[in-house]
Amino acid sequence: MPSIRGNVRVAFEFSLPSVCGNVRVAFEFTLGPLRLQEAFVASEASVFMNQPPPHMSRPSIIIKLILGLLWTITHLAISFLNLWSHLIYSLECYLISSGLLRKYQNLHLGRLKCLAIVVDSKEAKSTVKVKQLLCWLSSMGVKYVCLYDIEGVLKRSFEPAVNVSRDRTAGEHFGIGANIKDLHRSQREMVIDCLSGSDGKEGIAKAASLLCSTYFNGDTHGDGKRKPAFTEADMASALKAVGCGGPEPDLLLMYGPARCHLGFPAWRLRYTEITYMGPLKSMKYGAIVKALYNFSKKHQNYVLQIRYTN
Amino acid sequence: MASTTGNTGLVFSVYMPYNSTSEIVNAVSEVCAERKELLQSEHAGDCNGHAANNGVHSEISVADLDRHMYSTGCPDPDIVIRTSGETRLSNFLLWQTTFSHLQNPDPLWPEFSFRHLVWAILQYQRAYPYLEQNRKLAKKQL
Repeated sequence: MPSIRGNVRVAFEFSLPSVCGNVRVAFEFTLGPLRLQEAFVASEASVFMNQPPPHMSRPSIIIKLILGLLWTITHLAISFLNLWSHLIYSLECYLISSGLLRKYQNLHLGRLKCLAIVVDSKEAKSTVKVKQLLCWLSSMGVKYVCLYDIEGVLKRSFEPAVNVSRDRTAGEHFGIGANIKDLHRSQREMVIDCLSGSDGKEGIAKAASLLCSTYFNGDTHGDGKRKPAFTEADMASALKAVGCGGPEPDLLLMYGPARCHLGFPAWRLRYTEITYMGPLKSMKYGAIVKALYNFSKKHQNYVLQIRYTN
Repeated sequence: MASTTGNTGLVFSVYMPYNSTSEIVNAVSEVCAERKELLQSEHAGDCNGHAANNGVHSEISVADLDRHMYSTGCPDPDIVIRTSGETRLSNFLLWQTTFSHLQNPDPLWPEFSFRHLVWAILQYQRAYPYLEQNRKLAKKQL
């Protein structure tokens, strides 16, 4: 009879739907050294000891099925609610675009110094949509736009055109960047800043490295103490030195499947109003007008004043 | 904290007074101090304190900063709920919320109840596949 030397570890793992999302359930038990046949019998016995026997687990299976069904019905109901609210939202955006809602006709964008756009990287590959968005923003009078996606798709697509159009004189045209160039040449002259994930945490790490090297050289801080006393101003200067500085956006519009900032540079996100706009493929002019209008009506506390005086 | 040390259930963290930029700066300071100690211990007894390894020791990575954040040991939040309808993060957990689902329900905090929490979790469940996919992609790239 073959035998198993050493302990035998048996693990069962499965997922259950529940109110709080999928729950992973794992059972694990260890058997001592046994012969193979005994191991098989012992494992079955252990299963019975650690889990209810089959004839008693039917109620629990039924409960799990009922919970799963309730979960599915709940999410189906939420989908219908979302569909209904989406229809109302689309109608409102249409009315805004057509100019029928008067309150949205005159946008006061004095407080909007910088606007950030965060796009899901897969959706960012649709450069036509992004260019359309930029044209809309330019027509509304937005002066400074930060484009961001975590994988750097927007940086690769738009930054070369943005840099070239900044350098070239009027009269020269480039196929890819023609629209972007027009945005710069237009009377409203919108500035476009392209960011990616490397400007986020990695940018902070680069700035930290710079601060560290100056600390080792004994240039600043610490006065011989164990821990350097860097300040937020030092960090801001270091970020600027490594090319990750820039204005803090007043408003951030997120385009993608979920409301998530996807690693937008933390140092520039402190007091930014964040608005979720839905997928880029279903972007609407009226939705942007509404977002900018809501921002212009937003009351922000004294912290904003402190930010601008630093 | 002492009276709840032996508890094994929910972990409840209170951040006060707190701002995320101070946390990042503190992490940078701690990493620098750690590196300086390492450098000094490596070159103990050596007259040339500023050796060529300075450049290597001053290279700081994202993982180094992660280890020195106040929230080390706690997982990044899955959901960030800001009540009263405010849409800012207000310098809260800017480093840790890369893939967090941001929610801003209208009720003020005293009115935030169990049903609002259930709704928040249901909304998170709908966004979960996308957020999890992005988290896994980010982990692969590290």
